[in-house]
Amino acid sequence: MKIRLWTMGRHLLSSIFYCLLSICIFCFISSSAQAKVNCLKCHPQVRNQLSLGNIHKPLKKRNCTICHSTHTSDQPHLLVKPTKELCLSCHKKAFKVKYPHIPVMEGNCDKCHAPHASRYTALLRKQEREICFDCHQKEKIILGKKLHSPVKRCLSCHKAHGSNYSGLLKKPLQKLCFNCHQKTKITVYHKNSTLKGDFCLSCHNAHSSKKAHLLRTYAHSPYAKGRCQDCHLIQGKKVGKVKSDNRSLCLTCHPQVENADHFIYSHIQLTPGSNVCLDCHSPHLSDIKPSLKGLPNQICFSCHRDTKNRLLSTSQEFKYKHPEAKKGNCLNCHQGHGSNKLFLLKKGGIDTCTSCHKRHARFTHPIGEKAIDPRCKTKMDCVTCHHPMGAKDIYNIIFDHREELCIQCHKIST
Amino acid sequence: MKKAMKGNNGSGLRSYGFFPLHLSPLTCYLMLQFVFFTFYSYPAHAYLKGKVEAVIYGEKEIGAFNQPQAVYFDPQRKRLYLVDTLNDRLLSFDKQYKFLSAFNAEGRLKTPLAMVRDKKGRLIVTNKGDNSVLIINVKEKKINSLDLSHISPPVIPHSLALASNGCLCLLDKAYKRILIFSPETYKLQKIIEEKEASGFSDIKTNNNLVYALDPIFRKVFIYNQKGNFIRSIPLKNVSFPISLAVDRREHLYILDEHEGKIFIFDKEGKPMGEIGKEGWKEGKLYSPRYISIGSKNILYVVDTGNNRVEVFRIK
Repeated sequence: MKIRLWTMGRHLLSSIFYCLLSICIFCFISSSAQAKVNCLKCHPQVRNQLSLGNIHKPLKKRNCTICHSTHTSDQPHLLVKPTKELCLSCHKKAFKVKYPHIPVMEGNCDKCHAPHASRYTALLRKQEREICFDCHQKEKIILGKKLHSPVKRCLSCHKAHGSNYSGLLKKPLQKLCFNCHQKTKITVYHKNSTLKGDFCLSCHNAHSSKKAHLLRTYAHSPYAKGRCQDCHLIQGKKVGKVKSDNRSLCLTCHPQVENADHFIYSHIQLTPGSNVCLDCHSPHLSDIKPSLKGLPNQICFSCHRDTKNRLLSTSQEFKYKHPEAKKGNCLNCHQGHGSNKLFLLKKGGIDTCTSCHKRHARFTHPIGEKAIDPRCKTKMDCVTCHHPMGAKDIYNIIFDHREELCIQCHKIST
Repeated sequence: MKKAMKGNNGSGLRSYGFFPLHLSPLTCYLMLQFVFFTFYSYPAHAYLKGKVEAVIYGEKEIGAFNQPQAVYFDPQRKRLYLVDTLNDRLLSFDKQYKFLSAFNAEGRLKTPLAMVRDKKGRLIVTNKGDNSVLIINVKEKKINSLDLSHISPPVIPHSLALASNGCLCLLDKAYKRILIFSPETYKLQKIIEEKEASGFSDIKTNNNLVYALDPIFRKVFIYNQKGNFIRSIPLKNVSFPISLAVDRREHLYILDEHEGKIFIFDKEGKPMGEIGKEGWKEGKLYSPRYISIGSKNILYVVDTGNNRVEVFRIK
């Protein structure tokens, strides 16, 4: 009897399940069929876009529900998923690369691409070059009148979504250069020196320059004077190896830098290469004083990967970042060579901040010698409450200012 | 045949009463076991933890510490020495972590960075201020400098470690070198130069082996006293390793300055646990710079950002 009841119940449950399933399938089919007709009726701005040359496939097929929910959604524009997941659910080819393009990493596909239709190929919002200049400041790329001819089309050297080579290059640097420039000729021009690594970019700007041959603007003085022998061994007419493969080569002319060795936090000591100076400085030509190899953030982030990840992170924990840190102007606050201040700061926790935030030097929560943080019994400064490299609350406040921040120190009496 | 027909309800499908989906009790048991071991098994990396044993602050008597950079536990005298770097002094504490005395070597300590105490009771201190290594005989009140003048390029002293056989190991961070000096007389015996590393931020000794931490490539290099490379251990999931310690079981304790954590690895580099979290309250760490192992599973962490020393008992 028991078995019969169980069997009957089971059959009843399964029939209910199949009924519900068929209702679901019917609704889904009918709703998507309706979407083809109905959505564009009320969204004329999307309908008008149909006249543009390139139309996103789902729209072409009027399958709006692939991307949008018909009823409700947590996402803007009633999207069924966050933008990144949504795009990647069809465009699976992207983007497992070593160096992803930041908008790709952040899932801001719509920064470059229009979701419905566009006049330009690949549904780009603007012309290829104009889109790049939206984020990459034109004045930092076009430095002078001499232009590298491919600079008119960024994608001739760079990949838009990501690459396994730094700078989002299509190929390793040298292969890319020698695609157009004959290696044999170049070797002769450079006194038969061996062309290694990032050789080309150490003297030439890949985009533009004020000088002929796209040479970089500022020259290291021995190089400018043609005194290769100051740093290199000369073998006949050939410029040979450097005289010393460590920092002592540079310190013979720049002894003042050696002072950094006396600081607790010295930046002139660890190096993935052999000469620590060449991690940051270019020995021949540079576009950025003092002979920097690249923008400060490019240089700093090559070692400080965790800081880079934090600054680029889209996590809510690190939502608010100091604008200068975000721009990569590391040297506005940090000392390049060495410091006795924590985090290699230029002036210490309070003075570094108040050199820009002048109002806070006069009016703020008590800080300094007289304000002791009860959690660690040490003096309070700006970073007691703020984390410039990324915090979860507005103004880079480490704790939620409405709930957690004040009660870190000010206990509520019950 | 009878067994196979058990619970056959006539529809050709077998039923086992309580068990759903016509699964046998054995299959259900195996599935439950699978779910248990997949989701509830104890994580392999979490067997070692740390409990705060004590927190040492600069009390009124001695004034606040100013960016302390190292500690040294003297197993002979059971004393803890703290290098209070920007106050140019060494502080000693007893085994209850009570302050005993402060010492500035008659003003000759200039930004001291690391120290050890040898079997003869001499304090050996690296002085960042003048890039020297001082050998201080406290009893005889004599201070000598370790002779480094004949070494080229000039030595930039950083960390110190004392091997159990009395050899002194000195890290030259600037030129990726570890200098090994003979016991007692401290004459240069060997220079280890490592071209495969980005440089070292800290060295420690254990069983007469020298352990050196490469913070950029995130590896620990191990050498013997003769300076021969033995092996390297890659460190997983660490962000900004700054200091290391090694215990008797050859477990590696790696201090991560940016994460405010100590990552523990076994001798093969397999994660064994974590201690600490970034923060300001006791038990948390803010920009810590140095760790050292004492006796009986005690770990000393110099919590530089919070100007204190935290003592953890490892469990």
